[in-house]
Amino acid sequence: MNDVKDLLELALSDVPGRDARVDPDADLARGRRLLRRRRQRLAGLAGVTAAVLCGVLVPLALQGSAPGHRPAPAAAASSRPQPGHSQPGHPQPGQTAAPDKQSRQIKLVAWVGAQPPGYQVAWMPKGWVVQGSTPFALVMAPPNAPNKNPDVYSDKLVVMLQSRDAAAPPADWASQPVNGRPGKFDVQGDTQILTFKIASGQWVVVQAPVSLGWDSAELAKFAGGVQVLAAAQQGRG
Amino acid sequence: MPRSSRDEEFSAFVQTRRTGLVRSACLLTAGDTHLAEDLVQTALARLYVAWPKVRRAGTESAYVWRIIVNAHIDEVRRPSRRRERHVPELPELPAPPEAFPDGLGGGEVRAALGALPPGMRAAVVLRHWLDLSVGETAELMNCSEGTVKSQTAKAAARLRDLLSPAAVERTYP
Repeated sequence: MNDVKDLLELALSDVPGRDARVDPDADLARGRRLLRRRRQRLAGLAGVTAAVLCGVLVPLALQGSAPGHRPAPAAAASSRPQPGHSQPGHPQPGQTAAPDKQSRQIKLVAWVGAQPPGYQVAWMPKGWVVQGSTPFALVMAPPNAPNKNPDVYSDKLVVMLQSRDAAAPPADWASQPVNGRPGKFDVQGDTQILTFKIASGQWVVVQAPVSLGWDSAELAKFAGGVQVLAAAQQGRG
Repeated sequence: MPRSSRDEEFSAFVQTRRTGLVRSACLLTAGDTHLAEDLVQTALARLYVAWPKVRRAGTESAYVWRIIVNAHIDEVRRPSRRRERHVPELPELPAPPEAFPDGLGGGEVRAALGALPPGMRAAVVLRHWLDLSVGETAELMNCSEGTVKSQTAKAAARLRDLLSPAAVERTYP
C-alpha cells in the first residue's frame, strides 16, 4: 500500500456513521442560538456605547449651548464626571453593568494556610479549596465540585508551568500583561486561559472556568500573586 | 418557528455535507468520534451565523474546514487536554520503509495518525483526503506553502515509520 489516501480510507473503514441519518434541525437550532447570542451581545455593546456617548456628549452640549456661559477650562473639567467618583444623578459609563457582574463574580480573597509545594499563591477564589497540589499543577475547586479527581481540570482553577512540548502562546490571543511582563489571554469554550511569563523566562499557565465570572484583569490579578518555586516541574505532551 | 431562506439553504448544506464532515473530522481527531462531532457542531453553528456572507462568496466548505482545523488545534493545545496526555521520550527510530505494509487495520492507522502533531495531521488530511491544493491548504491553515509541503512529506514518512511491520509488531504483538 503506497498511497496515503488509501491509508486514510482504511482508517475510516471501521468507523461507524457512514450511513448515519442526518437531521439538520439540531444544527439549525444551535446556529440560531449562536446568532441570537451574537446579536444580543452586539445590542448590549451598542447600548453601552450609546450610554457612554450620552454621558459625555450631552453634558458638554448643554454647557456649550448655555447663552453667555463659558466656563474656564478648569471649571469645565471639574464639572464633568471624573472616573472613579460617582455623582448623584450622573451615572458613570458602564455603571449599570457593574453590579450584575459583581453579583456573579466569585471574589478573590487572600490565601490563608500553608502554601502548597511547587507554587505559592497570594490569592484564591472565595470559598474554594485546594483539590490537588503537585509539582506539576495546583488545582483549586469549590468544595462541592462534582468531580473530585485533581487530574481533571474542567470547571477548576489550575496553575501550572507551560508544557515542555508547547511553544509560546498563539500570537492571536489577547495581550494581558501580568506584573508588567508579557501575558496572553484567551477564552476557549467554558475555559479562560492566561499564559504569562515570569522573571525566570518560563511561561506559566492559569486556567479558570468562565463560571468564576472573572475578566482577564481579575485573572491577571490572581496570576500576579503566583510564585513558581524550585520544586515546580513542567509536564509533557 | 418559520424557516427563512437562510434556514432552508443551511439545512440543505447540512443534509448533504454533514456525514462527510464528521467522517473527515474523525481523521483529524485520530478516530475520536465524539470530538469530531463536537468540532463539526461548532463549525456548523458558526457557519449558520456567517451564512449570508459565506454563501455569497461560495466558500462554505473552506469556511467550515478552517473552523474545524483551528478548533481542533485549539482543543489539542488546551492545557487540560495536554496534561492528561503524558508521553514518554520518543526513541530514536530507523529510517521509514518505502511503502505502507499490507494487512493493516483501521485501528492501527488511527493510532498512527494520533501520534502525529495536530498541524501535521491537518496538512495530510487536507491534502490527501480532501484533495486540496498546496495553496488552498496553506490558506486554510494560515501558513506558507512551503510549510504545507514539508508537513505533508514529514507526515507521510512518519506514518510509514509508525506503520512499518516491525513497529506494528511491537504495538500489536
